[in-house]
Amino acid sequence: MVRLTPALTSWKILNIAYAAPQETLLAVPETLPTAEPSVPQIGYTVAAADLPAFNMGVYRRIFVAMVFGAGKATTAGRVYWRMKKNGVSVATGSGTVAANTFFTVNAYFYNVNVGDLLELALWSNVADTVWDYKAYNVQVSRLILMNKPRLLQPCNFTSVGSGPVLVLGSPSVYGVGSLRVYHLDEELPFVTSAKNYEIIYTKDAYGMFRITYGDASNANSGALRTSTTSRPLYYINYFPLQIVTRGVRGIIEP
Amino acid sequence: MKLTLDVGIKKDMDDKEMDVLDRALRRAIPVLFGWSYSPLTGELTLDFGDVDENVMLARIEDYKAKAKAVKVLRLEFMEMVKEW
Repeated sequence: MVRLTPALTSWKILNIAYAAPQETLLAVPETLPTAEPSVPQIGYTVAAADLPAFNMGVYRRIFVAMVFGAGKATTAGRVYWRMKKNGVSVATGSGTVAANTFFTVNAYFYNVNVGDLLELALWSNVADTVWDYKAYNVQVSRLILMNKPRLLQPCNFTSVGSGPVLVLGSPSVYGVGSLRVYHLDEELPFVTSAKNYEIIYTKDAYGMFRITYGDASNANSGALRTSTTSRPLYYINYFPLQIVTRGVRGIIEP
Repeated sequence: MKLTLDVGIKKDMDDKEMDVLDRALRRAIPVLFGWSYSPLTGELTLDFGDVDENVMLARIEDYKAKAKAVKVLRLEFMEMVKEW
């Protein structure tokens, strides 16, 4: 007797739930030091509840944490920053801030896991710059639903959202990053709403999709943005909320 | 617009060394808005804020030389990423 394996897997309906951002607006702004502080002002330890949650097991996912720190310069100067992951320097930088202007450091930690300590240190070359806002959120990138089969037919991104949505302070969005879907590790046209694909073949480098900020751009890096009216001034990403697909067995890997 | 260069050096900097780099970059490239550097990869990203992309494209080799970089890696305009 021969036992046949169906050519198609069952339908997979992957739902992804994202935790709300953690935000804090200090009642009393704190003055930034003029040299790097020994203890960063902003720190978050990644908890399981912070991570995007899936309604089924997935073969691979990479988590990207975004940490925001914001404040205001009274005198024109420069704000310096350092990102640390588990005490190790990941990236450093600086940005110019005009007088009486808000600044926001957008810091992206690529590939974080539960227990990781993510820190952001801020200092200034002038003595009257303050900080008063911090936030933290985690998104998912480079997801591979199943190790085998990798050919998905169809692969429907049936719901696409965007975020994080920050509400404290006087927030504004500076840039919006599209969802980047990949077939054979080749990037398809950018996605900003639900989109159906007849075929997706998932390869190891980029998986099914990448987010823009924190992966395609600014992975383990940061950017400082300024505004006379808004803080935080931040980037958001489009990301999948639901993917409906099924795998095709018996295909030789391209 | 951001230009990412490989400077060929993976070195963590303290705040004084960052200040030296900051001054050197701003002296060489007065239009610079900000920068970031990764000691893990040796990548230096020059942040020009909102500038004309054609002006930027024409000056990539000049900025590469001024930053003493060994290779141009990426140019980012809004969410578009061009990689070399």
